[in-house]
Amino acid sequence: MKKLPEGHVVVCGYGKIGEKVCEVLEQSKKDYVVIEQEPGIAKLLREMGMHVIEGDATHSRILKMAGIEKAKALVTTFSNDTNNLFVILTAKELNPNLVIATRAVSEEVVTKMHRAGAEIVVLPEIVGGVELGKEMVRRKLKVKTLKV
Amino acid sequence: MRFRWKLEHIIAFVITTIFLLSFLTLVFVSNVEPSIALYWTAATIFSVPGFVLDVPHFYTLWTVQLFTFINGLAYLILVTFITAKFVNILSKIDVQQREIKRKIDALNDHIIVCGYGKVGEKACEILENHTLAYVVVDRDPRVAKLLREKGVPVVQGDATHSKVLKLAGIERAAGLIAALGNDTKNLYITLTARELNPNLVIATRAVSEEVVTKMHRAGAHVVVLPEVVAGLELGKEVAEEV
Repeated sequence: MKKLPEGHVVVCGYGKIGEKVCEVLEQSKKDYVVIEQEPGIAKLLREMGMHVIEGDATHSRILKMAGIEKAKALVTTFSNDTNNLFVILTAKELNPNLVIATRAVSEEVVTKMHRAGAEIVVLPEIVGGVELGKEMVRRKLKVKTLKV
Repeated sequence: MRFRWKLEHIIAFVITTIFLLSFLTLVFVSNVEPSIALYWTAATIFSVPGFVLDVPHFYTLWTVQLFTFINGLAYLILVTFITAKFVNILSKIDVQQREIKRKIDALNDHIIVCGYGKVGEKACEILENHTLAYVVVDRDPRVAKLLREKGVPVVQGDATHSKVLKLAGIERAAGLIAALGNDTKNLYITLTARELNPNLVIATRAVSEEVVTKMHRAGAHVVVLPEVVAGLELGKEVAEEV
């Protein structure tokens, strides 16, 4: 196994969002380590030459294996708010200087995430829903005025 | 169209046959007066305790005894059948459901939101804030029930079926939001909706970037990628910090 980098980013979960995060990090030439539970995906990523830790990111052991103590930032991308929150708390305990960015599903957890130590909270579903709704409203109103 | 025997036809047939047989036998075999025979048959079927006067030894006639048994059976079938039908009709009358159906049928220029997950919920909130009328289509009975209780017009069913979309009034709608978390389904809904109503404004959610062109080709005006956008945002923010 390759030697773990230092001052890197730990990305928890390689779903659609995790994939995009890694893409951006790759483009800006940052070192990163992926934690992924699914063995198939982990194997694939390893074959692609990425740093991958296979396991559950909510366990501090797995986070330590990803070098959380020497990492600079953490990104959690799970679709489960509780899991994200738990990972944030655990990571912050292990490394208080960590910059944490997280995904959240529900709006109610945003304050909790900030309190737990996340600097950046992104709500894909909420933002997507708002966008869809707003776009529809805009177009609908346009249609209305055209009709009148 | 060929006539097909259903249970109700058979029961109706059996009861009519028994009625006629009983009546005719009384009249022609036992020589009872037709009016009395008719009264007795009807009275036995509907279990009316009747007096038969003017006929000596009426109840000792063998035909009467025979048909008392058979009529009793016919009566039993009749009552069971009518009760079952009645219960069936009663159970079909769902007041809330009818109320919502009427509401949807009265809507015009409304917006159909397919999928009431996190994304659909937020989209509905925005529509609500702008006082636009909308109908939700969701497959989950629990979600449908919850919305029904809130008074939101909802059609419970798979939005990929054109029948469900028609129930939501797609022909009269102004817009459609496909907010499912499945690209294939969203694409299918877009295609179906476009077919059913060419003037529809369609906004759809997509998970993968590859389907965006497909969605546009299928007829979507707006394609939103929540996951991709969020991933980019998270990545950029972190890349700046590190």
